[in-house]
Amino acid sequence: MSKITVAGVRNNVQELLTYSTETKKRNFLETVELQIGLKNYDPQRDKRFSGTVKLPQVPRPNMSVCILGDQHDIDRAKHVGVDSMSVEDLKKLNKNKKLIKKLARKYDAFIASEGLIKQIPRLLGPGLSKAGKFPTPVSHNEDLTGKLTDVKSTIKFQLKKVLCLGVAVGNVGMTEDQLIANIMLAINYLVSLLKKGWQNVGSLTIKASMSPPKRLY
Amino acid sequence: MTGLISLLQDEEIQDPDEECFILFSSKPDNRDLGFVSRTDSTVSVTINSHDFTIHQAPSLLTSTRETGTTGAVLWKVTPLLAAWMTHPSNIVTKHILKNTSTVVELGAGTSGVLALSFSSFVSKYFATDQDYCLKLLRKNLSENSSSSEVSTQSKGRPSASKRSKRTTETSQAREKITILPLDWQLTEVSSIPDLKDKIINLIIAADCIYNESLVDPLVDTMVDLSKLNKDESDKDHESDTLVLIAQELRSPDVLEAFLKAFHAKFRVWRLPDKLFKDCGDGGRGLLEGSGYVVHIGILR
Repeated sequence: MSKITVAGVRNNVQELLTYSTETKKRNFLETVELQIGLKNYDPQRDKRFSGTVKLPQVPRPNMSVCILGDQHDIDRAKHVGVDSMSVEDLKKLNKNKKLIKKLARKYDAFIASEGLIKQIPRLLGPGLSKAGKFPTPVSHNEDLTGKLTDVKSTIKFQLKKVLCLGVAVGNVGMTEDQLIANIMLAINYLVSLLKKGWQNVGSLTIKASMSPPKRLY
Repeated sequence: MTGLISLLQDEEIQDPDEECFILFSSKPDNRDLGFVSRTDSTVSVTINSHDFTIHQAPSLLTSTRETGTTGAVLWKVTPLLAAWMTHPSNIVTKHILKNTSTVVELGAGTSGVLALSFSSFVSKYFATDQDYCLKLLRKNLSENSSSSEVSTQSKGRPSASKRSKRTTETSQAREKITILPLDWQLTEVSSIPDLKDKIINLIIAADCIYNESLVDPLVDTMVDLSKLNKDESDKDHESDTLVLIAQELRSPDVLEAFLKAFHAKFRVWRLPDKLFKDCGDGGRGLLEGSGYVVHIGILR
């Protein structure tokens, strides 16, 4: 059923990694993005998809996460060295839209103590939703480090009103095989979200932050 | 109606933003877009031990028909809703599906699963969608309805059968179901001859919220149907129309747009887990965290 081969992806990944780690190595960890062009999709009529999937490797290890926690989870956050905010901290934002927008921008993702989830919209208003950053709940029984890895490994496909989208699927510090595994899983998942499967896929391209694009499909 | 609302008293939604936030924070990963099968031309579904064989139109789904192809296949929330609604322990059903009820289903698609499951409980069931769905819908209804009638009788449903004793228990489920073309963007509800003089008791929409551009036409249609033939002097709200919406959680933006538009016109409640748990396996698929949600609304 798959329209692309691992061998084909491998060639492109090799070239991309060679460019970014040898030809033009940058002094930061470049992110590898999968760019998708859709076709035969009517943004006015068709089911607008939105889906998340966990990749085998964390695409962006430097992704910033903030814990919105009760005392127990704030202590755990400090222990593993992750930023955290208490209900009191959130109250201090005083529902100020600018401050909440700033908070939503500052972090790539949020994790919230299970018991706090229902309070958060009352404390913050629609700020986090507008940014598409719904916090992931964590219970006291769950391992926080594991949860952080889950959140960091999870990528989101969300079609808006335009027919193209991009998601971070890896970085140039990964091995060829790790990168291929992430790319293949992301593509297969994307296709399962499309009403017409591969018939909706116009183009697939991978690109590191500073590299030229490589067309996969 | 008042009985149902007292069941839900604490659950009325005040703020659609907040509702959306809570729903999407606990949403599991979607496995796919939500079809039962994208490629099979027939799928089998079992609703409380009634087996249905449903024809689908996968080639229609993938065609480039301009006004949409979503109804061409069965979407997962529909059989889950049918299984829960027809479960013998479902107290919501006892409140809303009566042998005198008139039901309108919006966006019925081609499957007919809800019509086949509920029609024996009610007086009249209108399955509606755009024209392109109706031919296959008719085929699915006629091929499955006799079997559904037989199994309904043999099983016997305490609440429904007691009430329907005097009525036409032998009548074909098929006769209760009327297929109507209804396009939310084009059809003027008050101009549909079959609905003339009808008061609608229940409007069902399963997986009809998936695109912002259809939100306003859908809500307007729900409003028009709720107002149809209503006596303005009905102070007790006994003839209020209930809207029931079962939805897979996909795009937060789209659901939020819907909840805002719907909440502006309707009082809205989310059905709590307790009502699903009461039905064991029949309700399990709709529990919180399942990725599906059921709301009800009554015109303000």
